[in-house]
Amino acid sequence: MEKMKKKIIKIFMYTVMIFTIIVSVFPIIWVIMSAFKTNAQILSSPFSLPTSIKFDAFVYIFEKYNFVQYFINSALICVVSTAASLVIFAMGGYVIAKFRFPGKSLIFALFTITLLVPAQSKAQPLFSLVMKLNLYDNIWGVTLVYLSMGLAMSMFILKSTFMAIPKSLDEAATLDGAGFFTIFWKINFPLAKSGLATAGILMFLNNWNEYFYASLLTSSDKNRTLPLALQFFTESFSYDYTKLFAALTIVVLPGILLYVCAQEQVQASVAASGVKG
Amino acid sequence: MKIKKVTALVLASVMALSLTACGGNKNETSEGGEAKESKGVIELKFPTYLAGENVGATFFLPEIERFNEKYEGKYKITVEEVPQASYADKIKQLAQQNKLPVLVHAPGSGGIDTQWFKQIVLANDMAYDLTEFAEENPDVAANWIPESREFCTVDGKLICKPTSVLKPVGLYYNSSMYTPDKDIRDMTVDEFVDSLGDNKIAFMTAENGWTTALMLTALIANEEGGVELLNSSVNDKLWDYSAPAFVNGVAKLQTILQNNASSNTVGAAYADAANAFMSKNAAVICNGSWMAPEFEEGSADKWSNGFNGEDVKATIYPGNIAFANPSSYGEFWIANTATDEEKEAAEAFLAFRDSQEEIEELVLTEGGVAPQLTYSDNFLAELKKTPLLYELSESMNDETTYCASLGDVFPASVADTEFGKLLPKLIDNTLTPEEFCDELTKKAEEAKQ
Amino acid sequence: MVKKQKVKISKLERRNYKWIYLFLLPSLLIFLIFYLQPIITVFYTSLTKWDGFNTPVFIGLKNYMDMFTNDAFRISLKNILLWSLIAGTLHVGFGVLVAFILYHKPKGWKFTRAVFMVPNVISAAAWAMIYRFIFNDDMGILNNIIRKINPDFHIQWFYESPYAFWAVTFTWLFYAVIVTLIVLNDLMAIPEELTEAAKVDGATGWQITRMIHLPLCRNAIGTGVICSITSRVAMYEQIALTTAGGPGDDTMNLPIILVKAIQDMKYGYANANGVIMFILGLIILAIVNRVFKMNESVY
Repeated sequence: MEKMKKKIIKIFMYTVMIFTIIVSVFPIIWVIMSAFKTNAQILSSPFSLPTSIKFDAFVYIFEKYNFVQYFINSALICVVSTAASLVIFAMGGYVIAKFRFPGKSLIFALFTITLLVPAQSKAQPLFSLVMKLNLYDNIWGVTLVYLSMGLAMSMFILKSTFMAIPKSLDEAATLDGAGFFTIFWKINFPLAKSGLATAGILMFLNNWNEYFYASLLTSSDKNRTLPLALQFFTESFSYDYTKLFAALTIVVLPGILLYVCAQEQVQASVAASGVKG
Repeated sequence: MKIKKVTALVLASVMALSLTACGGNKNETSEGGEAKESKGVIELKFPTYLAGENVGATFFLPEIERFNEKYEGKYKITVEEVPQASYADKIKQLAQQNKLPVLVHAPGSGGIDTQWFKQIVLANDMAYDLTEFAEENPDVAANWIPESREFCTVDGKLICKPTSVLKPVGLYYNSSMYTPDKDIRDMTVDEFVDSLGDNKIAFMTAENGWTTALMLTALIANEEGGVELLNSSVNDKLWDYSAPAFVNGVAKLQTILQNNASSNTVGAAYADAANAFMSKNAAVICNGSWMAPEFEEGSADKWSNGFNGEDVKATIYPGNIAFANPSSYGEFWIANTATDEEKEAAEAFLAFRDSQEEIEELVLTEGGVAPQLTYSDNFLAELKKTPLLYELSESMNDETTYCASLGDVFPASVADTEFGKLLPKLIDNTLTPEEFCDELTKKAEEAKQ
Repeated sequence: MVKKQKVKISKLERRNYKWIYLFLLPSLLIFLIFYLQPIITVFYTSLTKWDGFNTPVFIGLKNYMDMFTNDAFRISLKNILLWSLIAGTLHVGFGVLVAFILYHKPKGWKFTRAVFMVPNVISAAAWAMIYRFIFNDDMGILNNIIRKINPDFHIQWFYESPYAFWAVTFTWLFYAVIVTLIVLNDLMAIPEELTEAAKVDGATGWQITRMIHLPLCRNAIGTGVICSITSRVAMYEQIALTTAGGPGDDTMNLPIILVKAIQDMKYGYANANGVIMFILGLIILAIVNRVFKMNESVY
């Protein structure tokens, strides 16, 4: 009986996992596969494997565009904005999670409602701010705007992460004579690694895929980010399925590659902290 | 900060990977390096959507190069490529900050809508008056289409460079599937529908419903008072769709959609409509001259199911109607905020663009007609080499009625989304033609200020 | 929502004020610079007729009255309610389920976690386009599979009346990796001793999950619910790039109306929509906070 139950649970668990895997990657594999088929093949036999692997569409795109530059821009903007905002939000989340002070609920409520401001309504004030700072068509202008994006979500995650770190550790450190900053930086910050990683990944990905502000705040080729460059393809290859699928593939791949690499590292670093998992 | 270190490491390695993978063919663009030292060169930089993969780029970017070559040492234009989807947004924001680029695309192109242009740009006197420019360059001004020039003249000021080229929109049919016994141009709508038999038309309902809107334009234009309705609405747009010509047009469209629409019509985006035609699932598609290159040998990889580009014929609509809207804001305007030097360079470019050679080049690349021009022999010889464009321009005669298409008269949001969104409900009979028109009128009403 | 708590604050804590406010300062600055002005502008101009450029003209509540008599707006409200309900239950439920399964570290759990993330690595726009192809009648994978069984099957999922709503729903329904990550993060922070102690007391696996783990990641689930529902309220690309709100107004929602109003240069009307989105969000926050008791520590 007990064995039976275990087996059923196991089957259930694996069914869910396999389902998750299928809905997550199957659409993408299908798109990538289609990028190597001709228009006729795409229309007549959507399941068939491509008969030959041709990189024509990809070669064309890479020859025409300065993808390395776009990649560097995107990476630079996202790394800097994510790292900076992670530290800033960690500081905020930490005090909200661990201390009582006047105005706490109000401040947290204010941070929370930023989640509700429609993205389109922010366009105009942010544009004029960037103009005033003379950062139009400059990757640091975009970085600055990205800095603000993950406020609410990161606060949530980091607050609950810091809440889960036992207060006894802080008290012990206080008795040892550690100051406020030391307790945060040396004890809480390292222990919050998995929460920081979660918030960091989410913010990084949001910025990595952000299109609207990047297009609004830059104009020259040398400041272009990846999503911006990719917009050119998705809007204009539109009558040729093969090229459209190739374009989609190119849109999708850099993010996935980056994630596959970073995923291993981030998980490793979380595991290496030795406290969690 | 292990995470940061690690991310940086990963980024560096991915970057290195992509560098080795696609390095070599990159010519390093050193910005701002050269041009500034040579004194006296006026540099001009402006964003355009006629770039990247946009169909317009094939002509526009080489034209800029030709301009820079001709005026080397005097003017230099650099364009900044902006996706069409965000061009208008950017211009609107820049206008708010009073930082417009020197040259801006005219309303009606690149997503810049007429209403915005009137209400913001004209009302605040942000467009530079080109009257003097026209007087100083009589040979250029002579190439402009008079209706366009008239339309661009507001309160005595010439606020846009008028257009010299009309790009009439007709239709294409596949002669291996459908052989009309006389030219479609000389048929009535009913004759046309009869002649189709079981043949399908490549319609669409997704995106802006473009190919369907064209057919509806033709149907309305064939109704009593239809052409007048359309042509008289260009300036202030058409907000009310209850006119009998409109309703009757929609009723006919409903029948055609139910009997002669390609099987993928519901939900078809432009890509799907084009593919229905190029895979012989439809015998007719309504579209402009820019589609012609798709039927040349070079595009054969998009053809399927035995489709052959040579079978494609171009003509205009039943009732001898072609769509062209000469009453338009032309192509570019110059921002008033530009310096005198910048204005000078911009005017030089506008003059260059409307020289005989450039206009002929444009027509050869993108199709169209330049009514004010006496074509050169060389041009006529070249035109015959592109049979479809030639056919299209030949299909129009002195009796042809030119009519603005629905895209020119619908308010922005009706043209962009609302029209297409309502079509499925017309097809499945959820809406009668009258109700369809009512709904559309309601949507237009909402868009009103 | 702001609960008055009468708690004695010790002197020791008071000594930390300087540090506390210093720590909050950067986040507060970000709020003030990037959010406060837009919020004020949205609220103020929602009471005006404004073309986004010339001076706004005060018109009172007219924008709101127009809105509430508008069919598309009413349909949007209905859609948002239904979508929020689905997001808060099925969507979050699935994310939590996956989190709990992964927590037990079955074979391949790391792989599953990594793969589950992939749809979120891609921009919402690209994902919407992928789904437009999947649901395409001619070449889409879904209908072609169905046609293997029923050759006459033709439904344009995104463009036919009862189906469009569900097609849009499907584009996000199972992609709950954010919920999974947040919950997993909290689950992993649960001290081993708690679980061990329960085991020693003879609790079964299900009991441990229900009585210990689930309550302990209450905060994370609450966060997941908030994030999922608010992103449903703000959902734009998934609709704009698939159905654009059609057929008719079947899949309309507030951001689509808002963007359309901006296109028509009706910024006042657009921002009135923004205010409604804002208020909806506040209501959701209040409810979730109440249900999940989010302001209290779980330990």
